[in-house]
Amino acid sequence: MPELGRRHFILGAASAVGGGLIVGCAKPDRESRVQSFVLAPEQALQGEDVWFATADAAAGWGNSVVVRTIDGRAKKVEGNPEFPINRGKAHVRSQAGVQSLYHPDRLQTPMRRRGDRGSADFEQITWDEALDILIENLQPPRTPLIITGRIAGTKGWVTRSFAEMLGGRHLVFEPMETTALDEGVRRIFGTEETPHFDLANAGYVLSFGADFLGTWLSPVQYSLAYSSFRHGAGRERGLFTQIEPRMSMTGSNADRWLYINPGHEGAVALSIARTIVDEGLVAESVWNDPLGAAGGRQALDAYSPESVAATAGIGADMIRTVAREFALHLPGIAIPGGPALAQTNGADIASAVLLLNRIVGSDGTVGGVLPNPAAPERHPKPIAADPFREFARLASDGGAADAIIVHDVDPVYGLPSSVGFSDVISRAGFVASMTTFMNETSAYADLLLPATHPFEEWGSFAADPADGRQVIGFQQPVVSSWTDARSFGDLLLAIAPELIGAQAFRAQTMHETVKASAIEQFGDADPAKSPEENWVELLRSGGIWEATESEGRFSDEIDWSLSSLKAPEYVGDTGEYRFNLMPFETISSGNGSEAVNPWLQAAPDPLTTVTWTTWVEINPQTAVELDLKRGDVVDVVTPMGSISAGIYESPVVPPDVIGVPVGGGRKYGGRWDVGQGSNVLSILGARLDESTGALAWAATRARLVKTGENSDLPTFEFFDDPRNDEGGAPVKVTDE
Amino acid sequence: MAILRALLPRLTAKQFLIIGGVLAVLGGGAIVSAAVLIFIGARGGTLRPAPEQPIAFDHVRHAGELGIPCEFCHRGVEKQAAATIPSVEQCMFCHTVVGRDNPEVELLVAYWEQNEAIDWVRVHRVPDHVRFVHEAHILAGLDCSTCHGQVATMTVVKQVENLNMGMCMGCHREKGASLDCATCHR
Repeated sequence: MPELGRRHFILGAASAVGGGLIVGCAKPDRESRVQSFVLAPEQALQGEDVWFATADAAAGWGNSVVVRTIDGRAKKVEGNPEFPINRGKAHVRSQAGVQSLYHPDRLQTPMRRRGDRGSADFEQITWDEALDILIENLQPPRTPLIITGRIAGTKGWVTRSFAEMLGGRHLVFEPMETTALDEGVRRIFGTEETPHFDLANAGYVLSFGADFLGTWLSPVQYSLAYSSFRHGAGRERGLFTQIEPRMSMTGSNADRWLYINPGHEGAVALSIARTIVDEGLVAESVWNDPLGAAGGRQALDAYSPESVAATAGIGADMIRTVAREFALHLPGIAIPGGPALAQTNGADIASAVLLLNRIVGSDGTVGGVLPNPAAPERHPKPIAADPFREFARLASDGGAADAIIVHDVDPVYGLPSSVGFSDVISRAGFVASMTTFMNETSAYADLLLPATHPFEEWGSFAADPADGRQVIGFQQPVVSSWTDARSFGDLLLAIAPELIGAQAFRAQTMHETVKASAIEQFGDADPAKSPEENWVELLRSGGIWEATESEGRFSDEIDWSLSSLKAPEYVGDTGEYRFNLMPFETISSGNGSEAVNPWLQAAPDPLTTVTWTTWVEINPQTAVELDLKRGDVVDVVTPMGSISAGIYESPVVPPDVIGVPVGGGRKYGGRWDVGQGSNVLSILGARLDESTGALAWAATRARLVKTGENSDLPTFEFFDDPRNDEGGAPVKVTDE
Repeated sequence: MAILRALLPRLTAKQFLIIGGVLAVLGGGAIVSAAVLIFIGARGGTLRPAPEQPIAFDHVRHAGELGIPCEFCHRGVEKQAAATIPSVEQCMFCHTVVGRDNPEVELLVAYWEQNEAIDWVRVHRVPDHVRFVHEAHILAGLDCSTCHGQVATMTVVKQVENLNMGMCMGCHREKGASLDCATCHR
C-alpha cells in the first residue's frame, strides 16, 4: 500500500468536505412531496391556524377552551377568553389535552375478546361487526347497566334516556365522590344545585379541606376568584384560613393553616358557630332562624371550644380566634371539601360547615354563598356520581347483571379492591367497554370499542358550579379523529333504532341532537339572526350565558339537626395502624383519569415537586423515629392490603398522618403510566357515610413497613447540594 | 492561560502555516461553491423536468377539454397562502361516478378505499425564506398562467417559469406592487 502523502491527504480531505457540502445542501426527498388530505378538514386554511371553541371537562365541568388547529391537527389549547367561568384561563389538564388526543396508545379500532375475561386478549373487528354484537347482546329481556363518569349536557341526557327506555340503569362512578357535599347543600340550602361560593367578593374564606385552587370542583374558576379575593382593585385583601389533616396546595396559600384530626371538622365548625353566638359577634336576628331550624341554640352547648379541642387537635383559643376573625370580616364563606367530606360522618360535616354560612348571614349575599339556577332539560349539569353503596351492592348481592356497558371510567381500578368489583364484571352476561384508553375494567370486556377524545366529539354542558347564573357551553370536534373511534352518544343513537325503535330519538347523530336542542332553546338568542346563524354563534363563542346572576334564593328550610353529628369512625385499629391515610388528588393527574398523559405525569406536584410516581408524605420527625429517609421504599399497610411507595419527608405533614396521591399503579393504559407507582385506592377500607352511602375514602388507618430498598424519587427540587460532594464543585462559588 | 496552552497542540511555525493554508483553501472553495450555487439559483436553477406523479393526473383533460376552472380544485387559491392540492374526497365527488374505467382513476379509488393520502410530487416551490401568498396575487387580478404557464395544455405539469427573485421583482415593479423586503421575506 502506497504511503499517504501530504498532498494526497489534503486533496482527499478537500474532496470529502466538498462532497459533504453538496450532499448536505441537497433538498431532502420529503420536501418535494405534498400530501393531499383524504378528507379535507372543513374551514382549514393550509398553513394557517384556525381556532375552535369547545368544552373541556378535564378539570371540572365549567371550562370552555379554544384549540388552535393547523392543517386539521390540534396544536395548542388555551382558555376561551369569552367564556364567563374560566375567562381565558386553562387548567394544566386542559393544556395537556393535545397529548392524550395524539397518544399512540389510544384504542384505534373495535375489538372482540379472544381469551378469558380479564386476560385483555382481544382481536380486531370492524364497526359493523361490533354493532351487530352489541345489538345482539342488548336485546330484551336484557336490561343494560350503563356505567359512566360524570357526563353532562346532551351526552348525559342521551345516555340516561337510552338506559331508561331499555328499562336499564345508568350509574355514574367517581372515585373521590362529592356525594356528601351534595347532601349537605340539599339539607342546609334546600337545593340540588351546587351553589356559587362567591370567593371574589368574600372578606374571609374558611375552608375545611377544600383544595379549591387545585382539584376541588372548579379550580380554574376559583383561582380567578381567589386572585380578586386577595388583591382585587378597590378592596381589602381577603383573609383565608384552611383547616385540614394534610396540607393541600390551597392550604399552602392560606394565611393560617390548621391541622385537624380527620372527621372532626363538623365539630370545629359548630364550635366556631357557638363562639360567634355566645360572644354576640353576629346579631341574633341573623342566626336565630337558621340555628332554630337546625336544632336550636341549646344544641350548640355540646360544642364548647374546650370540649371540641380535646378531640379535634385544634386548641380552644385558636377556635375562638378563627371564629372572631370570621365574624369580623364578613361576608365570609365556609367551604367543606376534600377529606373533610370523605368520612363516616361526611354529610354531617358538610351540613355543619355550610350551616356556618347561614349563621353569619352569608347565604344569598354577594361575597357569600349564592344559589345557582337549574339547567335546561336537554343540557343538564353533569350527573352527580352515584354513591359508593350502589357499587358495593352490585358486588355483594352476588347477582349477575344482564349486560354492562362501561364508558371511559374504571371502577375496577377506582373502587377498593376489597369490594371485588372485578367479580361483578366477570359475572355479567355481557360486558362492553367504550373507552379512549385500555383500563382495568375494559380488560374484562367482551367487546372493546374506541371512544373519541373530547376534542373530537359533539356535546354540551351546563357549568357546574356556575357563578350564580345559567352558563351553557357547547362542545364541537376541533379535529377529525385519526383513529376509528366514535363518540359514546353516537354509538347509543346508532343502536337505539334497532333496540328501542325508530322513534327513540329524533336525531341519529350527536351533531344533529346537539344542534336541534340548541336551536330549539337558543335559536332566537339574537332575534336579528336566523336560528342557523345563532347556532354558529353558539359554537363560535363556546356557549351562551345570562348577562347577570339569576334572581333566586335559597329555601329558608333546613333539613338537618346539628345533634345528629356523630364522631368519626375509622377502618383500622389505632394501636396497630398508627397513621391516618390521606389519599389526595394531584393537580395534574386528578383522580388518576389523566395519568395516561406523560406531560401530566411529568408535571411536578406543587408541594413536593415529585413526578411520575407515587410517594408517601410523612412528617420528618416521624421519619427519623422510624429510621426512614427520602426515597426509602415502604409498604403502606391497611387492614385491606398494602402498596409500596417511596418516602417523602414533608414538614407540613402532621406526625400521625401520611399522604399518598391517587392515580398510580395502573395495569393498563399507555406506555408511560402502566407500572408507575401504586394504587392507593385499592387498599382503602369500604367504610361508608351511612346517611348518603358515600365512600369514606379518608377514614382508613395505615402503618408503614420498611422494605430496606431505596429508589430515588424523581423530584424537581435540588435537595442534595453537590458542593458538599467530595471531588470539587460543579458550580464555582465566590467566597471572597 | 496554562490550561489553554495545554489544550492546544504544539505546532512549529511551518506546520502552523501549512494548516492555515489548507484551511484558507477549503474556506475559499466553500465560498466559491456557495457563490456558484446562488448564481445558478438566481438564473432559475429550480427548473426541473416534469416529475413522475403517483397518479398520472391529466390537466389537459380536466382544465383543457372539460374547462374546469383552476380554483374549482385548488380551493385555497383565493383565500389563503397555499393554493392547496384537492383532497381525495374532492376527486371522488366526481369519480364516484365518472371515469371508473380509467386505470388512473382506479388508482385514485384505491387510495380512497384504503383511506390513504396521496403523496404528490411538488412541481412548484419557492424557498423557505419566501412567503408567497396566492390569495393576494389572485385578488390583484393575476392569471394563474403568469407563474404556472398554460397548465391546461400540459398533460404532465412541469415548471415553466423560473420563479426566482428577479421574476418576482420584475413583475412587482411593473405592476407597482410593494418592493419592501419584508413583503416576501420574513
